[in-house]
Amino acid sequence: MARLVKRRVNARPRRRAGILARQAGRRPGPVDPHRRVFLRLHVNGADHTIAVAPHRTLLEILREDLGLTGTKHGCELGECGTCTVLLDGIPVLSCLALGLECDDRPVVTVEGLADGPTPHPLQEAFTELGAAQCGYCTPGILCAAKALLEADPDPNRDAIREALSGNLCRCTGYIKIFEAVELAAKRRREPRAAPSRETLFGRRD
Amino acid sequence: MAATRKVKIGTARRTETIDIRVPETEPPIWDADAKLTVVGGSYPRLDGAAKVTGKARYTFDINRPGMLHGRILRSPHAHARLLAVDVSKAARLAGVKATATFESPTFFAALDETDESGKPVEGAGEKAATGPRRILFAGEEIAAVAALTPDIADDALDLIEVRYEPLPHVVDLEDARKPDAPKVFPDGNQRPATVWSAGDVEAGFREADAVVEATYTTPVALHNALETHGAVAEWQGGKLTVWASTQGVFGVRDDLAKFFKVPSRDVRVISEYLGGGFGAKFGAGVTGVVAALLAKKAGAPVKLMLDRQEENLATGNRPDSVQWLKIGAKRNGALTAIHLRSYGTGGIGGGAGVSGPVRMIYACPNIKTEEQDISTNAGFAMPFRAPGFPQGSFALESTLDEIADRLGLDPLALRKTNYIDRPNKGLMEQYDLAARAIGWERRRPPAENAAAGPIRRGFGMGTATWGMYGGPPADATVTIHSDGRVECICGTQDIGTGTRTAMAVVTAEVLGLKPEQIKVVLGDTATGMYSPASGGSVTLTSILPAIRAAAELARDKLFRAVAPALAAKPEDLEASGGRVRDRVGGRSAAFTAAAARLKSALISAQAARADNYPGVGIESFGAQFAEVEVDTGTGRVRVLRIAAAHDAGRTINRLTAESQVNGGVIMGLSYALLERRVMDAPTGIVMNPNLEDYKIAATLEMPEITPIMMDVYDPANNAGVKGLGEPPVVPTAAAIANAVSNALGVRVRDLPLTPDVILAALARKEQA
Amino acid sequence: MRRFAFIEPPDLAAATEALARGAGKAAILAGGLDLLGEMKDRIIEPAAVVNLKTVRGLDAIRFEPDGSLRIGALATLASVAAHPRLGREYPAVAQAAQSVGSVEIRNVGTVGGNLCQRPRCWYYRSPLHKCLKKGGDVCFTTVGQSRYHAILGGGPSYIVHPSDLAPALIACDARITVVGPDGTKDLPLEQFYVLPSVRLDHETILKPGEIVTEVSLPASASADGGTRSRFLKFREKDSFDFALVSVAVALRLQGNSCSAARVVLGGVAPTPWRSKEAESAIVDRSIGPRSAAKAAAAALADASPMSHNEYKIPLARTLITRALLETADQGTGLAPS
Repeated sequence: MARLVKRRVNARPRRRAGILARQAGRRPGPVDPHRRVFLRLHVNGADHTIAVAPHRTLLEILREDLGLTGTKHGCELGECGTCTVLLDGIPVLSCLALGLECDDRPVVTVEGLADGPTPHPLQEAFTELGAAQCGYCTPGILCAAKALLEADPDPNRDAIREALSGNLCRCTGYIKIFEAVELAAKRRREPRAAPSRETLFGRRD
Repeated sequence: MAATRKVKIGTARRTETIDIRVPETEPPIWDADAKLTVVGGSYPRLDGAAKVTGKARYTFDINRPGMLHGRILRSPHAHARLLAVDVSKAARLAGVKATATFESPTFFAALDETDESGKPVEGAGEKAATGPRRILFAGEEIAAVAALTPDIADDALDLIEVRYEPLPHVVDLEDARKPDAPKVFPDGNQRPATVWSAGDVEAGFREADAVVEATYTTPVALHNALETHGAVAEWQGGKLTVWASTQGVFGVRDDLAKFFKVPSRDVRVISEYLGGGFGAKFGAGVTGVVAALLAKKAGAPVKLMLDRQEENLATGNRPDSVQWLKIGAKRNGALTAIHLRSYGTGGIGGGAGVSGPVRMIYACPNIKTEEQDISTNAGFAMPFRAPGFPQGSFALESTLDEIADRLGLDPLALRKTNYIDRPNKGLMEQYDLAARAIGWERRRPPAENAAAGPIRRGFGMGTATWGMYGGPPADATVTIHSDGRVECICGTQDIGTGTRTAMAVVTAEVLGLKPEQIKVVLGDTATGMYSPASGGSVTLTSILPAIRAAAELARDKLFRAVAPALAAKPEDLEASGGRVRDRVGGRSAAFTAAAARLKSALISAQAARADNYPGVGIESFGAQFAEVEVDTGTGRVRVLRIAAAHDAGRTINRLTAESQVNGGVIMGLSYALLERRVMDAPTGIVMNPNLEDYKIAATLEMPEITPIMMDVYDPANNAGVKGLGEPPVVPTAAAIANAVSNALGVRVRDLPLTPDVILAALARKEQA
Repeated sequence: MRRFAFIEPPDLAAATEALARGAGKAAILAGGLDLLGEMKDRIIEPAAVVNLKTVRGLDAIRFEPDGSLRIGALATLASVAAHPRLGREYPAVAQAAQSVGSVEIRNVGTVGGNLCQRPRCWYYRSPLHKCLKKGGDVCFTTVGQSRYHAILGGGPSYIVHPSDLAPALIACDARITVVGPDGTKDLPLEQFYVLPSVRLDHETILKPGEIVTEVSLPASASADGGTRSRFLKFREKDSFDFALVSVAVALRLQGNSCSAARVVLGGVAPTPWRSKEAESAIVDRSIGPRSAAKAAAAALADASPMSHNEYKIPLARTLITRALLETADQGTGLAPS
């Protein structure tokens, strides 16, 4: 539970060769189940060294050790997408990732989407269009959507559906979420792009 | 004192002026003539930024200094006597700070009595009994622990030793009705039927030119809000503070006060953000009580959040139903009789009635409904978004389509034939709006669709109604500070629907400001500003009239303070566009400048919700139309489009209102196509208490949705607002099922419409 | 989740040794999705978890000069789905990989993990049911809820194998490489899976200490036009669901005439289910609606449904028919007849 060291590092995540890049043998012997080992986590551009036991998941470490409660518990079994974060820049389920597997790899959570005081276009669009209703699924969806926009700056509706198909929302009916992702994509090209009138006001005929 | 006021009611298409009696103190009613500048616009949620940055703190996110983590041990048996619970080993485990056992049959009795939510009272007589506690469903609470970490709490549960005497159980609805079924309660499993009737159905059937009868079934559905039930409880002295994932902070407060025998002023309940409820989160529930109990025993704060499995075993459900429906109609489609006989199980709870739509929606002189709750050894029902209505709507609208097909009538025309007309009702327009949006003229008779090859298209529709109007008590305070800040305070909770923003919209309307200029305080019983629980579509209808009244009182105080400076009479002043203006003299001052004229640091006004006005305030309505595609080779139903026209009286915030409609549609679609709790009869255990096998519609299931909000001027209260939480979920399954039947030329009478159901229906058709 | 020791072996030898030393109480961590799910549900409670990802070189996807393909066991499903040449030459494999779970699952889930994943059967996954596969004495599906269970090859257990990749790979004639304490084995993937009548505690031939390292596929392209393949998956819910029925088809065609065929079903049997009946119904015939339907009927001729899964028979027939027609470019079977 101890947050031992926290220091600011270069916010740009280091480019990594992939999940196998870590040198084998950094922990030559087995880690005892009841012992904790030091883990270096790069979360939202900050560097943390914490001691964790092998069975603890990334979700638990983010929320309980680092106090980053933006990432939510939903089902704990990889069925709802609520705990989605970005690991090495790609969306993963933090409830099914062991902390020790994330050693020395960049993690981005909802708390790290903004660029300093400037919200990410997705955050702005989600707010503006009401894509966050109760808001509980929103952090995971934002992370999945960010990865989508990095890979596909102009996704069509089908690509958005596919990219978010692992994220359950019980409130919105998803429509506003789709529209918000589309608006954010548009804003990245034209910062002043406005949502369509129909999006904001619905049909009035 | 009551006063008579003239109000203009109706819709954009037609209005009429009526007299109504209202309390003299009521502000002028926002009727059809009200010229509003803020209300009815489209406003992003005030808490949007908090939600998209992860700053919004839900109950699961609350951490307190020295906080412990609680876990509950649950029964693996569906029916058993609880002989002994031994927590001594668990209590000795390092890091365990408190344990509790629930062996006494009366342990949760106080909770049962105070529970406003539908948790069973059938067993209450037995709770007073002596002897071992009888466990009534798999998942019932046996014991609990609080420990330094969740891991230790989990380990401790393994150390608890429990002895059960298993008893025969019954979990299947039909099995439970058999005479030799194991008895869930001493008086058996069949609760007394509820019978309601108007006219004479037998006479009605004799008059009919066509009579259709059929049996429909619907599954048990599980709420599955993404945030599970849970609470964080902390005692300080004799005072208890609880952060709860709840739809009703005041209900939780009262339950806890009663359970712990403390005055309710010594219990504070906070719920600033809630990850969904849908009806399952009323009252403290066992979870809230256990959290507070463990905290008391440990002398430290305790967080107790359920996991997904617990959520699906023991926090509520929508009962299933078997509905036999017989409907008679004249050749022109005029209904002559409706007879409904239904039963269903809410486990050890009740609430399986489905007759609302039959009794409320269509004109029919002869109606009889007979409904029965069946008890089973399964988790208790809780209200689930429009309790009883999605089930009842599915059977009623399906049977109406069968009648229409039989008579060769257009289903929409048949609905219009049986329309109950009132001036303050917009349903006829909603039919037309939604029919146009879906392209209803493209609907073909089933026989023509059958020639279309393996993939068939169909259209269907259904009607929404809901009739809870809210009411007192509901209190609010509006405060204007001399620096121009405005606060709107009500203890109510925002369950995701946008309550917070709606409160700001109404306050801003009265004070001539913008919604984002209003600071809203809610989700806290310590405000002292009472609100009903957020369920049954009553939140805005209850609190907005109080907020409006409080805002007007505060505004009038401000007018009195600023009038001399503007050389105006207070009654000539108006607030709009961020200014206070003299309608007569024309002089004006910015709102902040006006506030600076206050002789005190702030002015504050409090108001209470008046009673609903007599003679107005009928139901909210809506119409939904569906276009579907059915693959006859695989049985796959794909919903292509839903057009949903609804009203909530006067729409307060178009953006959040549309979201309510969209969200209701997806929930109804999910119910129609996917959701079903599966019980294992031999072991009495829920087989899908998860989100893998309890399937919830996601992005790839989504149709195109056209939400159409219309204003209906029907002032049930001074804000003219009506509920919108329940109506959008009511007719979706019915509209989809009707569209599927239209596509296939064979009725589908069992939800959910999974491939097995569709393929079986097609096989039946082939045989016929 | 219970505590466990965490082992990060530097190479395969160390990994197999660690697993062997664990004597059945050590588990392999690859993507971890199925493993952690089982551990959280407390279906298994390993004393040690061996993280295979510290072994280098197991995630490669590479074509050999002879046109054959090797896919490392740790290649992610996302990388398989996105590999351009793989997608061109073995479309069924790419389609199967793309059909698994969600983006989040495919980013982490591995080929080896997908092939070795345990059943999704709700009795198997229920901590409260000690079923046949967990050492109990009853397959609860025979007296309980069987809507997602086997219609072919069942008994005494009626699970279905959940892998999407396996039917596609078997259709494409894949072999699998297994490294263990006794050395390296290389066998047809089809033979990797065993029915519950042969083995109850696992769905494969894997013994403690053995690790799947690679899957290999013979060259797809050839002078006669090569092998064409297709994978169709039908789920109750399109977003993120396991297959009710899936079918992988690989055909060698001369004109419209089929010279060789493989038809493999998923979601219907305790193993990926190769239907030689369907294959022989189309080999040396031209593929059209009638022959495809005949092959589909042949595949299901021996099906014996349980109480709640009869629907899988017409569903599987439809999918086989459509997969054959689509693979042979004979339309989708969806047009009005």
